[in-house]
Amino acid sequence: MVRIDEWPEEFQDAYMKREMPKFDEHPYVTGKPLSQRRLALVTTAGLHRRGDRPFTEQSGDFRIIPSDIKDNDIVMSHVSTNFDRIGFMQDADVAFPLNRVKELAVDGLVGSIADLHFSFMGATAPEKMEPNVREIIATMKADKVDAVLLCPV
Amino acid sequence: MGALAHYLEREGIATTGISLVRAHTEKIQPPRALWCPFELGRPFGAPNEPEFQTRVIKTVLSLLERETGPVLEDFPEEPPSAPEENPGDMEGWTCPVNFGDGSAEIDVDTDPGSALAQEVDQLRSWYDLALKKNKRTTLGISEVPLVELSKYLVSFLEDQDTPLPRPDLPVHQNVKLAVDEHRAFYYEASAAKPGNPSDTEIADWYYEDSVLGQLLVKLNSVCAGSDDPILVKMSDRRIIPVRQRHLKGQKVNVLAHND
Repeated sequence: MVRIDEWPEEFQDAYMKREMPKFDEHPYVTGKPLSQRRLALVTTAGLHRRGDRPFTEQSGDFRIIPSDIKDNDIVMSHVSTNFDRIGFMQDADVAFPLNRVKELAVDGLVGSIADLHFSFMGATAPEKMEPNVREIIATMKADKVDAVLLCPV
Repeated sequence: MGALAHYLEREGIATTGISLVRAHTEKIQPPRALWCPFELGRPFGAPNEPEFQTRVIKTVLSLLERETGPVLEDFPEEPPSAPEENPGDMEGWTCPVNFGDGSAEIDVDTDPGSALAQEVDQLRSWYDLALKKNKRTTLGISEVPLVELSKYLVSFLEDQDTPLPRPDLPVHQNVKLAVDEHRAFYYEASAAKPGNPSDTEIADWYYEDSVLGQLLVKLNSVCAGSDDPILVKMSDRRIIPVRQRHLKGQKVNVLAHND
């Protein structure tokens, strides 16, 4: 059980009070019904394809996860030790629910699933990820993605 | 995670996401988030619970159809009960390694290499079972056989200039990969043991009682005293988690990392 309330109190307290990036503007994009959207997953779990480069400390770069990847080819190289790994070891969908969202597309609840998904390593300052997010946006737009499910870890 | 939502929406792509730390989400105010009272590492609740995972996903995706925001809602359900909440399940699970086969336990202080090799051997059949059960493994990111990584970890404790298993990568990455690969092997093997041990029980055994856990404590000290500033930083909590550092009475620096 990796719950924040099991951490030492002083660490919990400092963690909760940690400064977060501030945004002056709050863009809010609306669009078609879900049944007509094309959905991509973006994770910060430090996931990547087996054989791809492992993530490193403070790396703002990303890895591409193709939609037809097999569960056994999804691995994790997040640098943090402070979250549970066993759930993911037993079932990739508990962190990266690619099989589940594909089922929803088959059922018609979601329009379609993108060809490519994207992974960052979340123990990184967001501003280091920002330039890379611009790059994935271009790829998403080319793939006609108009909805993203963000999956932390 | 919430910052990525802002970046994506700014460029016209609608987002929705899971929040695992409500206090952080309240500050960042992403356009749409569903706070879930789950363990860190399990944003969709519980492994091998597809119906529960689907309920979480349907709820978080439904936020995409809200016309105004920011939206931060709470998911009303706890994940299916963890094994440690089912008394009785733990009977039969004590320590994943026992040397009841007649072989003597090798002392980690006198012969760390052999002690570690013995422990890894004892876990191997459980790892094979896990592979069959899970139909997947998270071992293998280093592309170096575990036995080589074990030798590297033990050698590194004595000589930080010992040859690298991945000479194309810096020392700190070799250390991290060796640590992570052992954890993958040990955790997958331990979770396959009868008794359905919880992740906390496995982690406590791994860091507190296993041969490897004892070597990790030494590794952490070696890194803390290194001339390499990245190894020093890693020793804060990249090798031993906050919970276990706390149990060992070691201080942690909350500002050392972004996790």
